Amino acid sequence: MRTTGCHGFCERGPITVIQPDGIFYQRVKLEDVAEVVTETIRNKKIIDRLLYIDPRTGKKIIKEKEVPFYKKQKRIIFGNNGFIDPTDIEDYIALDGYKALAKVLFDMTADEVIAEVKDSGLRGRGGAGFLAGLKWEICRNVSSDVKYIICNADEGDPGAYMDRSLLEGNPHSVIEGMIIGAYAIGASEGYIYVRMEYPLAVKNITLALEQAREMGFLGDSILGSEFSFDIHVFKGAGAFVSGEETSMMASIEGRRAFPRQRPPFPAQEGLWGKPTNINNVETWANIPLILNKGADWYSHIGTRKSKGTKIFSLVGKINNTGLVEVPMGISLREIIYEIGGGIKDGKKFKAVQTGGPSGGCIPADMLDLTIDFDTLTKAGSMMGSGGMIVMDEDTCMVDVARYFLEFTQEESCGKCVPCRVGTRQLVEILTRITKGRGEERDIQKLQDLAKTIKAGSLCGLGQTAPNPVLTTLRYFENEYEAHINQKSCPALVCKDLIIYHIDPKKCVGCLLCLKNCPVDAISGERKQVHVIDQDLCIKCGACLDVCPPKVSAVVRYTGKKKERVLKNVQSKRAKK
Amino acid sequence: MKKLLTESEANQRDLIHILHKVQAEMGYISPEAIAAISKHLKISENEIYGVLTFYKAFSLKPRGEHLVTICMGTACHVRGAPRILDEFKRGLCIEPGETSEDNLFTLETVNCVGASWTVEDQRCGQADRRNKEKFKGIKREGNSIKKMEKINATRLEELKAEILDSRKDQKTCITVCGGTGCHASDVFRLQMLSGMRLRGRS
Repeated sequence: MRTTGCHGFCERGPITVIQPDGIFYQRVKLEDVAEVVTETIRNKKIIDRLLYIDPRTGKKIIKEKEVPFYKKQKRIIFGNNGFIDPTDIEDYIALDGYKALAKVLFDMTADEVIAEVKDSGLRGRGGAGFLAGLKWEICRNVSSDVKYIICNADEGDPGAYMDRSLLEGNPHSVIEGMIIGAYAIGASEGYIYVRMEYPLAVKNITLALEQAREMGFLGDSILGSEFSFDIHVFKGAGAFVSGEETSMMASIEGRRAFPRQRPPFPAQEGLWGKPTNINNVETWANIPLILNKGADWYSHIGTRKSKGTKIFSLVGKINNTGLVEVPMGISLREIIYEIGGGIKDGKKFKAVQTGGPSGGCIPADMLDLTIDFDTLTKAGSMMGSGGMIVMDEDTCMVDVARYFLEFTQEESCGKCVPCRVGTRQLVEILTRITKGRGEERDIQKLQDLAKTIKAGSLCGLGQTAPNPVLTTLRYFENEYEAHINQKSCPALVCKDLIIYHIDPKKCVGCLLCLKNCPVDAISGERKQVHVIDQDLCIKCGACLDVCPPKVSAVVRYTGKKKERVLKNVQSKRAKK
Repeated sequence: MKKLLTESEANQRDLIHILHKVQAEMGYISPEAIAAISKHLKISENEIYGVLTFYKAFSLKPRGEHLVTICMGTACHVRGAPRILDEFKRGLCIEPGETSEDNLFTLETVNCVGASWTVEDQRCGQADRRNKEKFKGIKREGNSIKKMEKINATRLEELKAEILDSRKDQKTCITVCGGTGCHASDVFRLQMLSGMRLRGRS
């Protein structure tokens, strides 16, 4: 029995896999445990009701690797999560753990390591996609008595959690990558900057470091070689901007996480003025694999300019939420429909948001886009850390843009004016539009302002903050126009532009909505048509949720239809 | 407070670390604490104030007995988190960041706890606390207290062989996903019932 890291298929959790056959049980409950042990393990019988059913074919699937969610994936980084108990270093060693480190320390020079990483074509997984090997080389070539490396685990993009899963599920792969990196660069000390919202990650990585230190993978003369290096964990304190490399260094130094001008780049003057190399968790986790299997093997995966795999967190209005690892160059359609199992409740796909607050929305007609660093940037979005938030017809794109801008505005550190003031103005305009007070000039204003912020901001946060506005304007301008000109929200989301109404022809008078209304805005008797008092209604949507699907009497109206219904209600009231 | 400070080094780099500890210990950072830290680290109170108000983790006011944290991450947003927040605001009569008059509840929002499959993820301090009570007496045995040896490169290969050898007889292995997603949906109780891991390996 082994408690492992995340298997990735969060939607169907808790997940239990029985090895060596790989029997896959999902949504296992407490009551099922005894049966799993007696039936499956002792009597070798499969328990039917715990199996995963392929929603497309309706067939039950027994083996983990045959589940469609896993079938299309290429889990070279993430796959071991399912076999490893992250609190036990032996599990990692049993799967060739630290083998790459031993090879590097005794058979390779630092230059050879850098050449290998460069040849592999690995690009930084934190978002910008800079070549990792090149970054290392720059830092190596700066002469200094002390050098640092940092693992960026301040995974701030809302909706992305692959870095956390790696730290929680396979912490030693990150540690091994860091030690190899330190050897190549010539660093003596390393930091892992974990965000405080991830308590289990902090715990597991701390324990893993202790074990690695005890066994001589960290500390003085590692594995009996002449190389010494140690890693500290630094717990962040809740600031999105500290994911930016210069702010992260300020934070580790015990100051406010303010970014600063580059150059000098961290590789020249970083932590405490010393050369510093920062890479993201996933980048570090790729390193042992590259050195074990060789740059040649690695560079065969992926596209011409983006090598290897990428872990995405597939969330939002999708059937199979979870973490997926796919080779670069896979199409959005494959990810969303074949791995993700399509959109929830059979709704229509509208857009996918990649790259978090710095990224953008990609519309339905671009579903066949193949995913790599460059294609995403070209589409106006970016790879980012790999969040992939799926939106359906019920998502309002203006509201989404407003949400992201509210986020970046809140998280703007306030150091430079374009970002501090500019994002606030963007939020105010967007809020005005969602409240039905948009003006015709607003679209042009948004565009001008966005371009100014992009050009004038100091760090990545400000430079990319307008992306959600720009991409939604580019692909969904009609929604902006509907909000501004017709005062209607086509997705029926923006509260000020919609009303809830009970269709008198459909209402059966079951009292359900009446009882669930938190503000007692619904009046009526059993078996009589219920009516919503529009003056009292706070538009929480509780009535819509509880109205039985067979009846579906509660409807939302926007725009002209809303006005008509409102007028109707008023005239009725006047008659009374 | 004194004990806390004597345990830490007197370096600017330890400031955030110390603030974390004070926050965890006292629930907020009091003016007295700021003065003590300032003396210990030899940096101005001004600067400490600047740092602690910059980060969301620290609070200058005591928090209520129960901390209600609502995830406002993107996935939660598209699946309706604002509605949940509105309901809490209405029910508790407070805005995010405020504490109710009776000091029972503090309402806060967080941008993503990275639990996007269980949206809407509402972490309520009360439930947390209750769970902690329930699981208090149980401690994990095994790895954390297992004696580990210092190894070198040649020993690494041997060790791997030894580990594989010792597991040779292990025919079946039940792997239970312990990721936060499954964790949130009850896996902890699963492990407890089967109890195998808790009593060591089987």
